[in-house]
Amino acid sequence: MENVIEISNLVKVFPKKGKNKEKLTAVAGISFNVKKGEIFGLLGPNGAGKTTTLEIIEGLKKQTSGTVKVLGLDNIKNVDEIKKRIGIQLQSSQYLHHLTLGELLDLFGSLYGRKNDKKTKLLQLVGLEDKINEEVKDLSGGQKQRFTIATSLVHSPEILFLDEPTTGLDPKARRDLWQLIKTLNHQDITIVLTTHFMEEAEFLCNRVAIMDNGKILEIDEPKKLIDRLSETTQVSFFTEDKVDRALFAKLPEITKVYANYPKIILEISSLDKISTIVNLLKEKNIIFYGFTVKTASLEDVYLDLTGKDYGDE
Amino acid sequence: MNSFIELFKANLKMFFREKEAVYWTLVMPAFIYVALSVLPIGKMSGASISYSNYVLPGIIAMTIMQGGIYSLAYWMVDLKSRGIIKRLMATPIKPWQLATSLVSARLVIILVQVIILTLLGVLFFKANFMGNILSSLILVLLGGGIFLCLGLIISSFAKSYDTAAPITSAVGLPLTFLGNIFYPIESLPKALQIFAKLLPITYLSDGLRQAYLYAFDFKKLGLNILILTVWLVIMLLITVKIFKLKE
Repeated sequence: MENVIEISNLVKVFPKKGKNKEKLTAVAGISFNVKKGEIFGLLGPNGAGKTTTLEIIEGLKKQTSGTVKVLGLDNIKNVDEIKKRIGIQLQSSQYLHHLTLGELLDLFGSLYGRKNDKKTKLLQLVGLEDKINEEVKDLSGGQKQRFTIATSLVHSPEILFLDEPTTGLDPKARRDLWQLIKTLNHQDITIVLTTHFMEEAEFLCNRVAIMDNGKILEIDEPKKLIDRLSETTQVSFFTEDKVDRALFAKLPEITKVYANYPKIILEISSLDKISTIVNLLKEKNIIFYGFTVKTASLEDVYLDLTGKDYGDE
Repeated sequence: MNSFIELFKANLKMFFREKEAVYWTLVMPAFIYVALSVLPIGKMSGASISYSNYVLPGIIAMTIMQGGIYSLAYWMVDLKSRGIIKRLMATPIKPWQLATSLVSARLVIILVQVIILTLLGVLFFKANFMGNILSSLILVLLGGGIFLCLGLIISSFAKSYDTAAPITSAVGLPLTFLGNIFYPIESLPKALQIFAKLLPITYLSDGLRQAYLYAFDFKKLGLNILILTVWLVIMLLITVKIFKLKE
C-alpha cells in the first residue's frame, strides 16, 4: 500500500539552556512509514519523543537531521502545501475566548481559505450540532476534544494527527472518541495518534510504534506484538483440596506451574489449551472456583520491551 | 485576505464580548478625564485654557500608548501561553498575517477610545476641538502604530504574565510621567526634559494638543508628525527584526 508518511533517520536535538549547555536528544534517529488509510499509533511514556516527532511531521518544528516526507512532500521545503492537506489536534487545545463554536469553525475555515459551508455537517459528525451558538468553555472535556477534531477537519485533510486525544477524559467520553476516530478513518482519513493508553492503541491502531528515549523499540500490528508474548497467557484458579503440582507439570501444554494452596497458576502456550486443563480437573474430580484467564496485552509487550512500569505518572 | 478579515473580526468580537476588558479599556480613561474636569482645578498656570481642556489630548495620547504596550502585549502573551498561537501557526496562515490582523483590530479599538474621549469632552466639558480631523487622525494612527509595535516587541520577550508585567511597567511608567501627558515637560527638571524630548509620547501629546486646541499650524503640527513618522519607521524595523510568534 502507498505510504503517506515516510521518515528516515529522524533526529531532533534541543539546545538546553543552563550552565553546562548540555543538549537534549528528543528524537534519536528513527525511521518509519505510515500507510494510506491506516490508524498508526505512537506509544510511549512522557518524554519518549512522540510529540516532538509529530510536530516535526506537522511542520511546527524542524528536525536536526533526517528526512520527512508527507504525502510525498518535503516537510521543510513544502511546509505550506503540507499544512493545507493535514489536520492537527495539539496536546493542549485552548481556544480564543468569547467565540461560539460556529464562529470558531468559520475562523478556522477562513485560515484555510475556505468558505465554511459544512460547519453544521462537521458539528453533526462530532455530535455537537446543538451547541453551535455556545462557547468552548461551556463544553465538557469530551465535547471539547470532539470539537477540536471538528476544527481540524474544516479543510477535509488527508491525514489527521491526534496528540493524546483521550488524555484526561472519562471512560465513556474516551470510548465515544474512539468511535469518532474509527468513523473518520472509514471516511478514508489516515490517522496518526499518540497515546499512552495501551488499551486505546490495541483497539484503534492498525500498527503501533513503541517509543522510548527517542528511539523506536518495536513497530508492528498490536496483535502480532502481543502474539510474540503469548506464552505469558496465564490461567489461575482456586481448589478446595490440596493438589499435587506434579499433576500439571507433566502436561506438555503447560509451560509453568505455580502451586500455592489454595491457588494454582499455570502458564500455557496458547488459549486453546484451556480445555485440556478443565478436562483434567473434571477427570480428577477436583473442585475448583475463581477460574480466570489472563492473556498478554500490549501493556505486557511494553513492559517486556522497556522493563519498566508504565503509566505511573 | 479572507483569513485576515476573519481574524480581524474575531479579535474585535472577542474584545467587545469581554465585558471587563471593555470597561477597563474604554471607561477608565474617560473616568480619569471626567474626574480631572469636574474637580475644581482651574486654569493652567500662565495660559488661558482650563486644565480640563489642556489634559484631554494628553489623556488621549496616554490611552493610545496603553492600548499598545499594555493591552496588545498582554493579549499576545495570553495567546502564546495558552498555545493558541501554535494552533494558528499549524494552519497555512503566515506570522505577519496574524500580527497585522491583531494590530489592525487593536487600532480600531484605539480609534473608538479616541472618539469616545473626544465626544465626552466636546459634549460635556466644553473641550476645544478645532476640527483638525485629518491631522488628528494621522497623529492617532502614527501613535497607535508606534505603541502597537512596541507591544509586539515586548510580547516577543515576555513568555508569561510574570515577565510581561515588569517589562510593561518599566516601559509604561516613564512614558506616562515624562510624556507631556498631564503637565508640560517644561515643568520637569532640566535633565529629565532632555530625556522626555527623546520619547515619542511627548510628540504625540504635543501634536494632539496642537490639533485639538489651536488653529491649524503647519509648522508645529508638521514637526510632530515628522518625528512620529521617524519613530514609526524605527519601530517597524525593530518589530520585523525581533518579533517572534514562537513560544
